[in-house]
Amino acid sequence: MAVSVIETKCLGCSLCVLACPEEAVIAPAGTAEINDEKCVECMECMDNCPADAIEEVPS
Amino acid sequence: MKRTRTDALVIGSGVGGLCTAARLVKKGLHVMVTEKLPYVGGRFSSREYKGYQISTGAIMVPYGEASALQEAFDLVQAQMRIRESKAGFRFRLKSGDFDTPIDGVDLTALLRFAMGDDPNVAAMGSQIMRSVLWSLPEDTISFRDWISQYTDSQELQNHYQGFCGAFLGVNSNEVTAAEVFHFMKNMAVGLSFGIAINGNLDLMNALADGIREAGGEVKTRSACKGIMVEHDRITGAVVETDGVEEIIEADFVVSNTGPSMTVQLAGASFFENSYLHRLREYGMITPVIHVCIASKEPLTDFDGIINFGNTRRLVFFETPTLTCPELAPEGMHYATTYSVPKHAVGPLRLRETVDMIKLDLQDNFPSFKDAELLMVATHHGEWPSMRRWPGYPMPVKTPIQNLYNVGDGCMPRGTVGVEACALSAREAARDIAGP
Repeated sequence: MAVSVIETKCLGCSLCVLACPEEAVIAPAGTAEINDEKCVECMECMDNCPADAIEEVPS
Repeated sequence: MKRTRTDALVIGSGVGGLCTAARLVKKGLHVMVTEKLPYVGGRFSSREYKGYQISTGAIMVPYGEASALQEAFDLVQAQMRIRESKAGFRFRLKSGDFDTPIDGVDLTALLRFAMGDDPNVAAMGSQIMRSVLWSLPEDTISFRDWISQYTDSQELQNHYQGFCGAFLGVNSNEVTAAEVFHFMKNMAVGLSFGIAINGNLDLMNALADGIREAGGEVKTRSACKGIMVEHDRITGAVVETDGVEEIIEADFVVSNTGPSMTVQLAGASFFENSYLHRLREYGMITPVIHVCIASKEPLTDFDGIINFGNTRRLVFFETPTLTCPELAPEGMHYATTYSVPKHAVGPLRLRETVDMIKLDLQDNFPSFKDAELLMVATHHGEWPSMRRWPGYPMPVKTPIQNLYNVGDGCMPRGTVGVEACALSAREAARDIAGP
């Protein structure tokens, strides 16, 4: 399973950025973006999101 | 469904939640704290990122004899590993930098610095002191409008605009004059401020451990799914841990999730209209853009808080690694900055706002061009700078018996941030278990 950001829910708080061990998430201004090339699907970003804005999607 | 019983259930492990738990556990109550995220501390925590300990929200730690935060730590013998931030404030104005200790601002000197040869310096000073020490203005006037009664000095307005943004999280036309004076009065109560040597998470872990050692429980990755009410009285909550739901029966429930989320969790029908009206009518959070910048050389050697009066959006700049080099990889520094959008309500216009913050940083720190932008975090919505506008707190007691709110949705007037959360915890815990 891969992960995807639900843009309407994402706050841009960057907690997922700080949680990602692969530095695969950035949030340059407002919404998190996940780099699928770097993502290892550890789900840390999902577990660390206070807004439930990251969901599992079929890879 | 599995059932467990506790005297007090605390939902959320932010400053409000853990401080309440620490106080109740020392009163002999059995206390359980549930935290949805994998770590404690909420918006007063920290995460290691690229070798830096980055705050999830607040950076300055209040402490000292007058501090309700320190009091909660002391109650459970939790160590506050902090180092004093000695340099105080630097107010950056057109006329230069005005440096002052946090607890002893020379008001007349500051006004003269900002207002130059304006003949109203003495009158302005006397009106501010009258408001702080004698009688507050009504809540019907903004601080910007209040100032304009006594001076046309744009530079003084610029100073207080930056001051309100940095310390109250809103613009000077968005906060009442009364709230600002209340805050100024409280600044003089003798709080000290420091930086957590190993990051805020280390502090909050110490507090959680203190609660555990005193007999309480603190669980992470444990999300509240609903608060249970029967006959207008709390009975407990449903909590999900590792995909398994469990009912926790409790005599008292203390919510650190924010007053709006508390209503959602319990169900709005249990709350009377006047409460819901207050929640909605002044239901504004304070949004802040939190930008961290890494560099080999610090962007400034000033080891305190720089507060700006003439920027586009940037209001607060602090280099925690000057006080605590432990927070960065060896030989590196990072700065924490906060900026307020043009309007705290209304669209944040984040891309434009972040561009303006970068311009502000370039203008003020020539070496910013060589620094790395470590993180841009927008604190708003469910992860705000503060859950209510300063001056419009919700009460800690809800209309549901034995259900309390703590945290920055319930900041006592004239208080903000971490210390305000600790004060709300003190109020709730005293109501539950006595002084």
